[in-house]
Amino acid sequence: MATDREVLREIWEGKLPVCFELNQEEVNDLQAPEPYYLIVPRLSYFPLVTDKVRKHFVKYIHPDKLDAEIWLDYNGTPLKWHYPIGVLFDLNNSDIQLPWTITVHFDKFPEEELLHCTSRETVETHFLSCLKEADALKHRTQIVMNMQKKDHNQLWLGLQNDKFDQFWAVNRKLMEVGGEESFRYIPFRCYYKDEPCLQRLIKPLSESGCRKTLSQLLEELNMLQDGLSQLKVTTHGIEPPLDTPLQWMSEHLSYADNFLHLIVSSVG
Amino acid sequence: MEGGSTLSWRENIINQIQNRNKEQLFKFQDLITSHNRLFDNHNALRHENLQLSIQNEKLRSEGAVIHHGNGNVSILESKLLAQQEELTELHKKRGENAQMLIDLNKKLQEKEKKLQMVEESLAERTATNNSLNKEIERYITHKTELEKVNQHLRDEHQALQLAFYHLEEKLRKAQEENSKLVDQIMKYKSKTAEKMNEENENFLRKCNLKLQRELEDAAKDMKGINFDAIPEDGPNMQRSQVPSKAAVVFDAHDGVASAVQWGPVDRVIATGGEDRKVKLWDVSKGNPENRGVLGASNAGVMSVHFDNTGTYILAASNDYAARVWTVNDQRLRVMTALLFLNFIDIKFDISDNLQVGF
Amino acid sequence: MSDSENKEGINDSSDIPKDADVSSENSENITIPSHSGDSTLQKKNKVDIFLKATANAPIMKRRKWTVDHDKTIAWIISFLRKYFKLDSSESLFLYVNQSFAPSPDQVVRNLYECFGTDGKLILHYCQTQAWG
Repeated sequence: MATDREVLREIWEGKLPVCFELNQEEVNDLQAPEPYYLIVPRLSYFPLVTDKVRKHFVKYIHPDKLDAEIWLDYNGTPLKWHYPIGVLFDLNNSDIQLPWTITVHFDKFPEEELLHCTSRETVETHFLSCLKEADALKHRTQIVMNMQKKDHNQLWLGLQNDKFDQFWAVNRKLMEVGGEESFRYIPFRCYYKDEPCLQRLIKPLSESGCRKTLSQLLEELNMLQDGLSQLKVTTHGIEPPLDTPLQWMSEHLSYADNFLHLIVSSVG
Repeated sequence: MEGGSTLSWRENIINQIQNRNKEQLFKFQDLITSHNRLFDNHNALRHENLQLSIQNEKLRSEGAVIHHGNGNVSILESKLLAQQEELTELHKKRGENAQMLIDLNKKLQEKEKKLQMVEESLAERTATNNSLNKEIERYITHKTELEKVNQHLRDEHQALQLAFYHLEEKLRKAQEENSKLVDQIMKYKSKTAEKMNEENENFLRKCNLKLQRELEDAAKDMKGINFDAIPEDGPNMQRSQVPSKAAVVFDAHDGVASAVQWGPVDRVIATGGEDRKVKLWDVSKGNPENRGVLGASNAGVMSVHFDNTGTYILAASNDYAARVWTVNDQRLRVMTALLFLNFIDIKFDISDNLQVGF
Repeated sequence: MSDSENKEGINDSSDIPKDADVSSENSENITIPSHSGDSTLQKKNKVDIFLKATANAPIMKRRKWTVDHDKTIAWIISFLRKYFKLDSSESLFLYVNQSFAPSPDQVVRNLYECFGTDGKLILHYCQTQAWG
């Protein structure tokens, strides 16, 4: 299974070049600040990587806004911090020119569209909630509940510090199938068009005991009205073949929150 | 079928990921890291630049001051003049200072002399002090010696006192013994007296007996005698006469005359008095005539006696002594210190032996 | 399954008169199923939720509600805050399965589909953070 391990590694290593720019209207200096470039991990969350960005731009904004919470937008669409960075990128992939140019705001927080993120602890709470939800689907929350606080910490620190081994030493347990052949249900979130993401109960095995594939998932979600050829499923910047087994996908292509984030779009 | 397809979808996925990384990551990774490095460098340099410009500004303001000072030659000349003036001033000052130095040297010498004198006197003082100290030492030793002697004497005194007590004790014992002896003597004396009384009585009884016998004899003889025949103023019945008038009165002694005695021959009287003298008087011619004064007694004379021939005179005195003189040449012949008791009376016995009565 | 749903529907409708005032005062409108509407049609767009108090949280007179399936958790939370007239300083948490707090932008339908039991979604609410 060396190749499977390799897949986990490659997925973990997935990174994106980002160019942060301060919103022009908020510049409070003679000179507009230089853009700030960063390579960010796809599995991470924006609040975990933007400390330096904030520090760079805070010199150029109006002094009243020094303590304001920053928020980001791409092309006028606010970016939800509680989505993994890779998901945010793939959602907009069609028209992104690399490096990905993101606008930084200190002012006019879009209350209706974004959740507040006051600190890293907020991100941690969200992350752990997602883990629990995923485990509820996979193992009726038995594994995550039996873990100790330090294991949760290790998962969080592994993600925060981009430490593959540290993270997977614990995450491995969450990916075990136990005595059974597969998970109870596949934890996934499916993004289609502009609607809110879809979550449904999908078993990894059919009633006859065969492994379900990605195409069967699409079928169960009633997305095949236009035929398979009209749909494109993207995750981690790639398009996994439709015959990829769901169980394998859940084990290897899940994000750090243990969910598969699948972006479905129509071709053409 | 399963295996083949497994391989195909997995290969597909891995290829896609690798392509993705190539497209999205590797193209930019180096660029962005180098950009970040440049960015950091840029920031550092900007910071440094700011620091340097501040420094530069400072230096420039200092430099301006220096430029202003850089004037023309006249300024330098005037400066030179000023310097020369300063130099002469300094020379003057130097002369003054030299003078001051000399004065100070003189003062220093004086002070040194004074110091020497003070030191000498100090030495003298020290010497006297030393000698005085020595004297004190000597006195101290002397004092200790004296103390020793004192102690010695004290010891001696104590010893003597002890001896004294001892002797006193002895004396007391001797006195006791003495008193015992006196008692004995007194006893013997009383015995002797008793004996004498007895003898006297015996003698008197014999006399009485003899007289009785004679009377009886006479009575026997008188049978014929008539009492009536006997005259009342018979020759034998003379009337007795009592002297009522002193023939001679004279002052014999200063003070009390305590003893008097007729001499056996001639008409000589010996008297003894409180004035410690024995005097001889001749009363043959009516008025007493002093024939001599016998001294040598140390206390009042209590008793005087002549011997039978009138050659010797004996006197007993209150000084516990009896003395014998020859009448003719009035010289002391014998002095007998007797007992401790005073003589009351002394006599010569018939054989001219000295007899002593108490 | 459909049987039980029908039962719920009937129960629901029996609740209406009691809570009519509550629903009417709620301008944002907890939607009450109409009596006349087709039961299956109605079910497409509505979800039954069952709100249970935990720990020190105040108790609701009515626990079962029917809401549009595209409402978000944030919407339910704000509804509860209004219902209890909570101060802005007071906090309120919602939990699914007594284990995890759903993201505020999660829609009710997803949760109902994944974690609903017996035709309803049970949500626990409390004022202190429970279940991590």
